[in-house]
Order: sequence, then C-alpha cells, then structure tokens
Amino acid sequence: MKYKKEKIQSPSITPASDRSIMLRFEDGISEYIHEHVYYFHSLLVKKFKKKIANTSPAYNSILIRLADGVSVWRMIAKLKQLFEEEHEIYIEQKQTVKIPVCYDKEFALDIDRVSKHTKLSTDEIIHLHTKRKYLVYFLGFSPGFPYIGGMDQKLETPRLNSPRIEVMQGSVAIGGKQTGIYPITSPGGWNIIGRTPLILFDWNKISNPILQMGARIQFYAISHKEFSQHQGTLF
Amino acid sequence: MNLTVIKPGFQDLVQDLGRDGYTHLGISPTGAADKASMKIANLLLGNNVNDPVIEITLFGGSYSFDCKTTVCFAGSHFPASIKGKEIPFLKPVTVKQGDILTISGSTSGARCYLAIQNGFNVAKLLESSSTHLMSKSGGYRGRNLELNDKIPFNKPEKRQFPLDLKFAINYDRSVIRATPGLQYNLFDKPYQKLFFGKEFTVSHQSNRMGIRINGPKLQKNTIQDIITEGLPLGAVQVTGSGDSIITFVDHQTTGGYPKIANVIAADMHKVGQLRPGDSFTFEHITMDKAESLYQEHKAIFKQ
Repeated sequence: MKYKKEKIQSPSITPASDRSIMLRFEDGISEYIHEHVYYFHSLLVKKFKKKIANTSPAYNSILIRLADGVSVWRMIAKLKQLFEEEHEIYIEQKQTVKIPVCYDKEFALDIDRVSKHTKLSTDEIIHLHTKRKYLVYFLGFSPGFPYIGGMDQKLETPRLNSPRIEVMQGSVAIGGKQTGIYPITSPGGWNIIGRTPLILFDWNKISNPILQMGARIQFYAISHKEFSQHQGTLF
Repeated sequence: MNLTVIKPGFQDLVQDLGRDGYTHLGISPTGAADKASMKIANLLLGNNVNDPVIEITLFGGSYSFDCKTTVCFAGSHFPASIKGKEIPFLKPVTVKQGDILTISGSTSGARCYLAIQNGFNVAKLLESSSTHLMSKSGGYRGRNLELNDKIPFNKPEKRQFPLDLKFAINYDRSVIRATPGLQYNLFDKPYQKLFFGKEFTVSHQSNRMGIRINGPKLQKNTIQDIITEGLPLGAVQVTGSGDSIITFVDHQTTGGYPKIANVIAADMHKVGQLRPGDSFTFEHITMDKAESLYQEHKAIFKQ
C-alpha cells in the first residue's frame, strides 16, 4: 500500500453536456496522474452514489454522467467544494496478473506486419512483449477493454489501414504505442499478435473483473497445446 | 404467455430505459433509442415507465399473441393492423389469443415502441432488460428478434387505463438543439458557424452506436490528437476526415475524437427518430437554457 498526503491541484471541472460533467487533471498520460484519477474516481463514486448514474475514468479525466434530475451546476459546486479540501491519496499496489498468450501464427494474424515494421523477429517481439509489466489505466471503448500503458516503444506499429469487422475474443494486439486485449469479439483496427485462452470479461463476475483499472498485468507465452488446455477458462 | 415472431422487422429489439452504472467497465447503458416514446407507451398502459418494450426500427413485421392482453404503440407512426383493421397509436388496444399484429414501414421517423401490459418478461442482466448488441447480451438473446422467437410477456390483470394522459412531445426532426461540446474551442469560429448554420443529412451508415451525418467538413485548429476520454451521450464527434457523428445509446464509452457540440437531453428522443436521408440543422443552446429545457421535458411525464 502506497500512502501519500498532499494538497493536490484541483482538476478543471466543466459541464460536458447538460447531463454530464468533465473533471480534467493535468495534461498528459502518466502513472502519477493515473493515481489521482484512480483515487478520486473511487471517492466520487462513494460520496455521490445517488447523484451519479455513470462514470468514465480515463487517462487524465473523469466523466460523470448525472443521475436523473441532478442539476449540472449544483453538482459542479459540490465537486469544487470537495477539491478545496486536503486529500490523502491511498494507492493500493495490486498483485501482477499473469496472462498466458499463444503467439502462434494461427492467432497472430498481424505479427508479420509488426515484424516488418519494427524490423524485429517474431521471437524478439514475443520477448519484448512479455518482458514488461503493464498498467491498466482504465476500461473503455467496449465491455472490459483495457487501456494498457507501458509497452516497449520498439514494438510501436501503426494501426491497420481499415479495421477488421470482427476481432476474436482474447486477441492480444498492438495499436500504435499501445498494447491491448479484446475481452469480447468486437470490431478492431489493431495488429493482432496472439490470443489468450482465458475469458477476461464475464457478465457474472462484473464486480471484480481481472482486468480492472489500476491492475498490473504481464503476458507469458504458451504453446498451442497449452492454449487448447486452457481454452474457455474463467480467470 | 408469448409474442411469437412470424415475420421479423428490420430491427426489433427488447429495450427498457437502459443499464446505468457500468460505463467505467466499458459497458454502455443502451436502452430505448427514443426513451420519451417508450415511456409514453408504458404510461398509457398504466405500466411502470421502465417495463421492457419492443423497439421497432424503420419497418416492422408480424407477431402473434397466444393470450389475451393489451398493447400500446408510441413514437413515429408505423401503420399497424390486426385482421386488416388498422389499430391506433397512443391508445391501449386489446389483442385476443391468436391475433396476428402486422406492422409495416414508418410513415414518419425511425422508431416506434410496442409496449404490453406489465411488460415483456426477459431475464434481466445487471438489473436491465435492454439488449446490448455489441456484446450480444441482454434483452432477448442479445440480438434482434428473428423468425419464430417467442418473447414472454407478463400476465395482464383487469385494469383501468389512464385515458386522459396527453404528452406534449416535440418530434420535429428538422432542428436538433445542442450545447457547445467539450472541444468546441478546438474549432475556429468559421467552423463553429458552419456547424450551427449548415444543414446535415443522416447517413445510411448510422446505427444505435452512432448517427453519422453528412454536412460541412470540420477541422480542428491543432494537429495534436486529444487524449482519450469519456464520451457523453449525444456528443457530436468530429473524425480525422472532418465528418460528424452523434454519439448514441450503444456508444463506446470512451473516445479520442474532439467533440464540437452535444445534443441536449430534451432533444435526444429526436435523435432516436432520425432516419437515413433526414436533413436537419443544429441550433445553438446555452447550458443554462439546456438545463431548463431538460426540467420541462422531465415534467411532461409527471402526470
């Protein structure tokens, strides 16, 4: 458990629409900003439970969609008040989640493209991709989709020119500077370099998903045989 | 007690008011595209406003009932009949066992709502019966209704229907009111003027995730991308190629396109009624005005 006590710089708080409010912290993407987003997101959800319908925390912002009947301006006043107080920021250090990935050609539809662009061999790509621990900044886009930071920039590869209509559930991919996993089958434009046999999004385990905001994850390579053994396993 | 699909429509979906509370997990709320009409259909039956209904888009199909009950239509007008007899909208209609309800193409906007006494009865997913198409979950098997599907409905009881209710909803789709969006200032004055002055036409590539609209090409005044952030319902996103998209009920929860404007809550039902080929303009509204319009809109349903 990390523990900090500091007077933080208040985020800018503006209406995003007549039913939503945007809180923006410093400009940029960093673990430091993430810690603020994480902490204040938890605090807001707890403190204003009845006034908030939905939230979307992101890299350096939190969008609050208001519950029926709550006024934007009155809520903004309440939020401003909250940020005038001093806050102790607690960050729970989470255990690293290990995620098996089969990088076999059968699943790694675009690994040759990544190889060509990065001038790295398949083995080097796998090595660099599995070496680091990554941070899940937040979930967004589609159910359970993690925005993951910390990929080795040697692996950076531009997105596909036109997105695929269907990317299979469990696909592990690289899109620009980011790496990600598709927890459900969905459209997608990232370079697919492997697939995990694990089910990472489950409607019945929604309260404690394995891929959640603030989680640390690390990939490890498995064979095709191991993939088959694990297939469909709930995390 | 079931409704059986004899012939499916273009897109028949079980919907309610949506699934709030999960956007932080990437799960959009979904729910009826035109929540005002959905509420009206329910209220006219004396139902709870959130009782599950069937949302019918562009054209309907044929449906049979295996038990006597009462239904009610609201929203855009779709000619509908039982045994060749046209049935009215905005009025409770009794259907008998074995009756076949036939619904044809809309003569006005994109959607109508078929409510049934005490609601359709599908398993709830995270407290909601709305269909979440992206994950193929919720509603009836997570998808559009198909041939021979049997949608269970709740048992009707003897009931006095509230016949004196009137709902002053504006369905005019030629003007959609919007507040400046989160990145309004990333667009220079001439582009802001184009946006709030020129006509837009709804593209055929629209769906419940987003309404694509063709109109003036818009360009932000910086080459820098914005950092991915939460998307409000009704946000008008401008893509890299300058096209505009209205963020709609099945939207992705976060996105990286700049948002020039945001449709006001009191006009979101109109967005649910936009159909391909419709032309309209955006009217600029201040946040204060939008809030008072929202309060007025809400009051319509409190009778």
